[in-house]
Amino acid sequence: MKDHAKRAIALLLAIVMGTLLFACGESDETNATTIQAQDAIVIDSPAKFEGKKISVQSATTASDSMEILQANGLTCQLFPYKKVTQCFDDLLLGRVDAVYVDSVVAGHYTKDSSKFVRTWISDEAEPMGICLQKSSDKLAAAIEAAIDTLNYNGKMEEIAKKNFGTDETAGLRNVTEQPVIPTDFTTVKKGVLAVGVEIGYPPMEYTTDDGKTFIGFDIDLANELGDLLGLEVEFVNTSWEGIFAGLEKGQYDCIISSVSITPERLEKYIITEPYIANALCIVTAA
Amino acid sequence: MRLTPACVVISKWGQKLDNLWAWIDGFADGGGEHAALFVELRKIIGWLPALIEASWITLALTVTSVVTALVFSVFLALGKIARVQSQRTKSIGQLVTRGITTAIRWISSGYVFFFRGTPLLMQLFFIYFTLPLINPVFNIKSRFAAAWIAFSLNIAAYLAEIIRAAIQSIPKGQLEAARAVGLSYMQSMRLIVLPQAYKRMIPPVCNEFIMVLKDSSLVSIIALTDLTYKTTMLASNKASSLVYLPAMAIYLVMTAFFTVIFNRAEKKLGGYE
Repeated sequence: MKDHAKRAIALLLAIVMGTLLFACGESDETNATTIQAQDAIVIDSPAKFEGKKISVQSATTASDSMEILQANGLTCQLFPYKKVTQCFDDLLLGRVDAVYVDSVVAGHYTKDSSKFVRTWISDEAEPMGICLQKSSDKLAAAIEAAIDTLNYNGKMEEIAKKNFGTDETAGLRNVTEQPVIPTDFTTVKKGVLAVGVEIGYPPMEYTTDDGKTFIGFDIDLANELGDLLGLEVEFVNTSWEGIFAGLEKGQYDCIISSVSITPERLEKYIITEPYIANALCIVTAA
Repeated sequence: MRLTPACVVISKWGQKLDNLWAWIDGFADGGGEHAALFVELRKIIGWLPALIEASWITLALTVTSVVTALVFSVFLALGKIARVQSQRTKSIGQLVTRGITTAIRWISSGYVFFFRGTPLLMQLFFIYFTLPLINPVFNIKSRFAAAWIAFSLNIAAYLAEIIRAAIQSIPKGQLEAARAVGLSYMQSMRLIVLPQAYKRMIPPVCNEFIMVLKDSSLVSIIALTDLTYKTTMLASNKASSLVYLPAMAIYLVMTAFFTVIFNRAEKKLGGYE
């Protein structure tokens, strides 16, 4: 082999080694500091994210909030996962310091668990609603009345207690008289209420251990709504990142999948009045 | 040649960029016939820094894992073609050699069978999430390192087949002649067969390289923000599918760059044949 070829190969290998040192080294450095700091600092507010490793689900309100924090000068290593379950896997394996997540999910993981603990919850309530296209205002009105009916006859409390153990819907809607459900709505498919969900968000929407049946609070809610509206419920499982695009394309009538009510979303879509309380919170390993 | 200080060059370019910005702004805010087009153009330029930053991960991961895999795959390929000529006299030593050779061949073939036969996505998942749950010893803290290991292992299987094909395309007589003049097996491989096989390897290796460049988008499942993940994040956050346009352009620029490099290499190494 000619000399210059040898030199070129040596250079290439050196570049690769350099890149690896640079790319793999980043987290090992912070690792040393976190082990020292772990005993001293408990991450009990977003201000303490500084220099830590935080995982969030991408395209959620938690990741939006992280973006704002980072724009305001916070420096931390962000782990944007596609599924919230993977955030908790990583926390369990000690690869991240905290998970920034909706309180409904945090409740599921911290309840009866010696592994996770909730250290902080936001004062800003971020309740959830059912999301529809701007054009389906009639269906929205019908769903609104149906949710009120569920609150009126106590069904809501029943499914909340079944899924959370406590009534997370209490105090959000005070319905004193039986609402009338309008019937002049149309759906994408006649006689069917197509519901967009992102399965894999316990306890709101996930599957039984065999992976076949969808369960969770939102699933129960959708089935109750279908009964009241006289529609057959059909679930469309979508990735969270594409769930709003799917609604715009008309793949389903509504999203019942832990949609937090935010001003940006209200600008583009109809979101019903809150049906369940929620706020951002921080979960760390116990 | 007159040397211009770097800072002067940068400030000059900065000025030119400012002029360009002002020009685009003028069109976008001017309310002319194509104003909407320039508003979109301004958006695209605004996304570029984030996209370019993310494409470093794509690039670094692809280059490091292909180079690592190349080194590893040469041994795999040689392992797969290792054979002992059948001989009448069977001493203990010959039997042992034959046994070891067969074992190496089986292990190499098994490796290629496994890593080509299972999806890269699952291998990545397995290394990052499953192994640490089985035993904490395998807990890889760095996402990049996990991705690098998974990609290197997977690519090596494919490259091994490419290299094996290139080696076996060299006429048998070459190896036999080399052995006849007294070179050892390793010497004749290193000095006679491999230099000729290099040239034939380059087009399929280039192919594999470009495939990996695009497959690297799989790392999004372990929360590593590569170009594709950044693009989808921007698309869903800013609710604009326009972001796919600059992202695709960046992918094309990267592929074009490496295609040129591989073409050059092919021409240079062509001298051996």
